[in-house]
Amino acid sequence: MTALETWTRCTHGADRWLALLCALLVIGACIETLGDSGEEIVVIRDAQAKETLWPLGRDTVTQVQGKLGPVQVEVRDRRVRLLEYRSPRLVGTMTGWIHRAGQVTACIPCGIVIQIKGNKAEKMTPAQDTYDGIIR
Amino acid sequence: MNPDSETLPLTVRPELQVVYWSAAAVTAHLLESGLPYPGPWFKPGLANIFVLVAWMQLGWRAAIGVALLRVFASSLIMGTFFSPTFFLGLSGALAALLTMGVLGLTRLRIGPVGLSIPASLAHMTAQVFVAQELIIGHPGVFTALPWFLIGSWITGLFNGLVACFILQRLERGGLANSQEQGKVNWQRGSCASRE
Repeated sequence: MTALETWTRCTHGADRWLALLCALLVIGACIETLGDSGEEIVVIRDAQAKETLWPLGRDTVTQVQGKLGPVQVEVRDRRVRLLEYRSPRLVGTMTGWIHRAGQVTACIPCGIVIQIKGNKAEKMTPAQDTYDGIIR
Repeated sequence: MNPDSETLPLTVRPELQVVYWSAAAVTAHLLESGLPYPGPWFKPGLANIFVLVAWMQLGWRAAIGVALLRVFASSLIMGTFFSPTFFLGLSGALAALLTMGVLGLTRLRIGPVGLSIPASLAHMTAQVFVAQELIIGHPGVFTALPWFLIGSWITGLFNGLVACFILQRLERGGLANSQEQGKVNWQRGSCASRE
């Protein structure tokens, strides 16, 4: 029995339409995921230098464990910011939203660094490409 | 129909059939869990074949019975009762049953293949949601969900086809038409071409 015969014997019209609809849904979702990968990515580095990647285009609010306690990372409307609560000067919170590839926001006392990376990353000079610039 | 089945009809009480399909589902689940797979999301879900068969042959109540018996019995045997694995299995089974129920409410002639693929996708989606809540704790897992769904579509198709073969064999043996409950479902959503 060929595969086509098996398919014909085991399916009606509704089965075929459902199978096709499901396949299209899955393919569409995969294409959507691929489309995201070409865009900016938020790189969240925690206190243990563990990096977590998140698409900038996907809104979320997540917590990262910092050295001084939890730090909230919010991604919204293609922007990202961090909100720390126990840092002495709240530099990261005051930095506010960042939205362009290459931008960095960090809470150095907490050990949390957030950077946007992507295809549209602007070329940074070595002097700019340092986290010390955040505190300066 | 096979002439033999008219002279010697194979009659098995529906509740016994539920037990048989449940036993088969638990066995398939246990065998499957012992096989190596590239990842936790790539299991074919062979136990669902018997849930499908119960759904087509005996109706939705029997399918719920088979699915829940499979989840509870296999978790008790494997020692994962009330562990995250148990809740993953339970959520997947309930999501699949719910999907099959919604499809069953339509007036379409849907066979095991048409039921199996959407149920398989629902199964995977529910499991990823529960895994995100109970195990992973990070929403990044949803980025991988569409790729897991490709595997689900393929396994859903495979399981539907195997269920179809089993139902065809049962029909030839006279079992599918031996119960009134089975007759209704079988005629509504038959997978086999009438011969």
